[in-house]
Amino acid sequence: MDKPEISIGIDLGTTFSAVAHIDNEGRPLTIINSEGELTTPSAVFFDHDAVIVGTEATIAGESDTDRLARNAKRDMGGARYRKKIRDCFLPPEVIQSLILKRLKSDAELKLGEFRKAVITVPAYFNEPRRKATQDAGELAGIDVIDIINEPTAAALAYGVQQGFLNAQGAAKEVERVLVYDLGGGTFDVTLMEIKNSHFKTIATAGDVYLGGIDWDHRIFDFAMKEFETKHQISFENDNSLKEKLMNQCIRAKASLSARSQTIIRIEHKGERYKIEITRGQFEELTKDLLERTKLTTERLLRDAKTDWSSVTKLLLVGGSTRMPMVAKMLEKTSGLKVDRTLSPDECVAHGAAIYADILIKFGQEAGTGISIKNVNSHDLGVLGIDSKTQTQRRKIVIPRNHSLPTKAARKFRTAKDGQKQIVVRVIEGGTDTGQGATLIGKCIVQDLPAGIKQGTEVVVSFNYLNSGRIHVVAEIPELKISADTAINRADGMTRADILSWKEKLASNTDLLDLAEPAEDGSAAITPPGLPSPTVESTKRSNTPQPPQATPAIVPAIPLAVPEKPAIPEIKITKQKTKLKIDIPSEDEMFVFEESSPVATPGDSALDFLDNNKQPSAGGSELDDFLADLDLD
Amino acid sequence: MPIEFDPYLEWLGIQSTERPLDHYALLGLTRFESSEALIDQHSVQRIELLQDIATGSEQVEISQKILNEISAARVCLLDRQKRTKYDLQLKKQLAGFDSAESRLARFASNAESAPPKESPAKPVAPISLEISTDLESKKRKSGENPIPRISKRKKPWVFPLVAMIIPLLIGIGALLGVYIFLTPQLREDFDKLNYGRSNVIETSHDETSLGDPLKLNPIQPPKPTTTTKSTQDPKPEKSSPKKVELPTENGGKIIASFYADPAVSGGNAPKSPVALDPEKQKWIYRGNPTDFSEPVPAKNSKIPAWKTGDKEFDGVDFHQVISADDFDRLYENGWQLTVIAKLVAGSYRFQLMPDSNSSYWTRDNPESPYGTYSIHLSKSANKKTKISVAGNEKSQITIDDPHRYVQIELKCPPRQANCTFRVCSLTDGRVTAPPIDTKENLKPAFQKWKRTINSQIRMLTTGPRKGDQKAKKKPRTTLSEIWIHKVELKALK
Repeated sequence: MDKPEISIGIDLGTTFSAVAHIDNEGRPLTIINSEGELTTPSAVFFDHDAVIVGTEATIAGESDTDRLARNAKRDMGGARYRKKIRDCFLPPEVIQSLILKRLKSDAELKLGEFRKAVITVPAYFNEPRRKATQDAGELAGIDVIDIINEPTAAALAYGVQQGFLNAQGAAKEVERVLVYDLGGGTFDVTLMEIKNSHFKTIATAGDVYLGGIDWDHRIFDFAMKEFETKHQISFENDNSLKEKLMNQCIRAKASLSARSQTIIRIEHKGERYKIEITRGQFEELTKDLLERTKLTTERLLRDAKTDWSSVTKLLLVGGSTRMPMVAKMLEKTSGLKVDRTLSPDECVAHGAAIYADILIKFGQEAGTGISIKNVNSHDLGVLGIDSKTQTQRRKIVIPRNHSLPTKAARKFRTAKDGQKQIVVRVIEGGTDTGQGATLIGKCIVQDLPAGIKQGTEVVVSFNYLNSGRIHVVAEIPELKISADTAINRADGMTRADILSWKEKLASNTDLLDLAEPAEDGSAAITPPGLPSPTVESTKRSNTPQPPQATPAIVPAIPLAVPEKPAIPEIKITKQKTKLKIDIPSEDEMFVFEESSPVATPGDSALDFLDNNKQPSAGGSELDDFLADLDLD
Repeated sequence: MPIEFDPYLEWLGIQSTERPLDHYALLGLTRFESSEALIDQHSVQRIELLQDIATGSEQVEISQKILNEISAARVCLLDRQKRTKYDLQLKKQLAGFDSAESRLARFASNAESAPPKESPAKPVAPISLEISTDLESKKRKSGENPIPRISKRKKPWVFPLVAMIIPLLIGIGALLGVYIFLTPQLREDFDKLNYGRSNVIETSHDETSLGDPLKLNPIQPPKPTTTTKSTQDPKPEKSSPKKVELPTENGGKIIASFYADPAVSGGNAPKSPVALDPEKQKWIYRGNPTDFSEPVPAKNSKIPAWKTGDKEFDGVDFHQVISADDFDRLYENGWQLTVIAKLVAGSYRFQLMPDSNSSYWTRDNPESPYGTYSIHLSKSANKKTKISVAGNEKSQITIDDPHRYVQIELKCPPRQANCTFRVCSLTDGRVTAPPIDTKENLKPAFQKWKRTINSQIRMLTTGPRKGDQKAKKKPRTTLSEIWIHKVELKALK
């Protein structure tokens, strides 16, 4: 290569995005955008002949709200952006890719052309959302070399700033950093341990739908009411006025971080009106939101089986942490002083750039002396039917906050005599009954020989790789039959979709001409993580995807099927993902009668933590589980 | 998305019969649960459950909405002040107590047809509604239920806030000895009292038909919204309003005032508002303090017979004359109750008697004016009045006693009182002064006292009851008396 690769990190935020690179002296630097700002609003305005991104988009959107898309990050992982843009639905990936494109072209003005970059995601993002982020990068012409969790990136930036990565850094004591990341649209809290140059995530928790926007909306609701009662202004059916007020409210929120009261002004039919809001009022209006972050933080500490006394640093990340109420609440609950040495807007992008630098210079972490260990933010498990109650139950195979990579397995039994096939439904998150769980894939053992008895043992093993890819194997030891699959993120864009959108984006026609018209089955919106047979059978069929060159989290690639000595009379079909939608539901049943871990998960290479969380021993947990069921 | 999806039922298991949801139902608690540990535990459990659901749910937005609702419920119920207020609202709601808006709506719709008889939203006439008249007294004696308004009180706690009863109990064993300012001599004195500063009230009653010594004159403070006016005075006025000025303090708005009005009770009415004379600000009693002769109604007047021997004072039940809007105003801004009374020689104890529903008016709350206030007046006017105040140090009651006039001011901070609140003077000889050194010692005596008072209050407010009749017959000696001049309820803002 003629010139060295530039290491770029992109913080693709819900409301604001930032780009950073590593300068010649190895320091991360935020790249100022073409408007001279450190951050770019994540807003896209679909003008008649062009797409506008950034501050200008928010301004243009005031008068023509139909063409404005903001907060698309919240819909990532779903099929469509929530709002119709000029009567058309767009995939959220496309909106995000337009933002990325603008960020890229701005950065290229300063740095010259580049392709590779690391993009950040909230630690609490589930697999479909991660996949969507990566797709957005691809659509924008970025080679996404990896996706990194935002708190991890922030911790990296902190580590670099504190000199943990230098030679002297080795002498430093272990820091247990709690990263409280309250961004525009998401809230993440992560407990990390930094020792020398090892960054280890201990636990993470969060809300994907909690952020500065919600605070904005509270001011907005308050202001709207005030204007309505005090000035008799009606906001009904006036989206433009609403949008103007929203922008004023966002300004008011920022202003209330510095001042104890502020004024919200709007112009309506040539008249100017104003109302006042004090910081006290604001804090009262949003107390429940702050309480949610507090409870989530406490949940994290509980999950990590620790308390505030073990935390040595409290890092605040995300623009919303500028609100005085955040630091006040945290300092009150923790007794710690918050660390404000990092810029809350920039540090995530900085960390991403540092990570990109590591990956580009060394190809991978190995050899750098730096290690980054993540956890899975959601429980991974299998859906089945409880034998006693005949109700749906979830069985966790890999509990959340387990250090990656990891392996785990559970035993199950078939539900009835003569099952023709076994369907293992792999889910992420959700409750014990499987509510709210995201179906991330299926592993189907098909064409079983006749006469398989009820209660035949089925071993399901998960192999969760550091890259985020999950291999699932379902095996019937008795018959020596197995099927395996690499989890293909169930929703999100298919290869064909990506290619098709890439073409559309490359051509200079009006994007909206190409978008899916709203009338076309607008009822069939697939929300994030929803396994929907109708969708599956139509547009988003899960066709196997061709391998990708990047080492990062990629759309799953079917593993090479290991040769197995086949029993002559049994035909084994190996399924990559969920295949058929006409599977008789009785055949999908499992019973939880017995289970035990058959492989010890975890890898202890960097196991320097005293209370490193291990997946709980299967036996006792199962007993508890069954005991619970008995109670039912 | 399923159309009939009910997240509260599906996710939280709350039956669909429980709608609309209150905070307690949302958290799976029994209503009015006060254990903070339980509230905390339930809310955390539910939030965690919903967080698990939210991560991949198809109804992410709904889950966020419910998460916010649970969090808001938690914030509210774990904050004592907020919970008190919320409980009040909830009780109102559960009892079908109309909000100001619904009252208005109801009134508007009833304006055309006849209003329903027992409607709790019935607009209350601003004046003369609760005054016992001669006629009423007679009815009472003849055993009829003289005060039909009580029957409106289906549930006592329905009318929270300052449902205010001020029975003043006078004399050893004497229950209801309230002398109202009736004698010509007293009226004369009263004329010299400071009537009037800035507040001008409209007394819209008919002069010719009234001789009531205590006037119910809820003052209609100017409201920011014009909508409430219609509920205030649905009755057409029979004569042009008479202007009377009341003593007021700086700031605040008088919501209701009950006072002995010499102008309409046949006394020497001031021809014009008396200019404020700083020298005359003191409340002076020139009469003979030992003269306990019965006040005799002036000829041809309809002054009720509130006599020493048949002491009847109905108390002041503010909720009968105050609109829901005004209750809200009082609640939101805090309020002050002022009782101006004339005491004659004797011993008095004033006790603030909280309603059991209130978490504010409790012994345990250091902010509460809970306590016992003793006052002793000797017969000699020259002797300095001894005032000893027991109870809470931070109490906001002030007993102002220039000579014989006692001014009791009772302030309640904003958003606190949701209780039936009573001020009593206590010189009931049957209850010995309770030792107040320890809580334990106080308790039995207090309870006994409370029982007594309660029965008396019932009598005062609902007319004689079976058990009370007996008590009434007990011989009493009148050693001390209170003459009420004025009871005033004011919003602090």
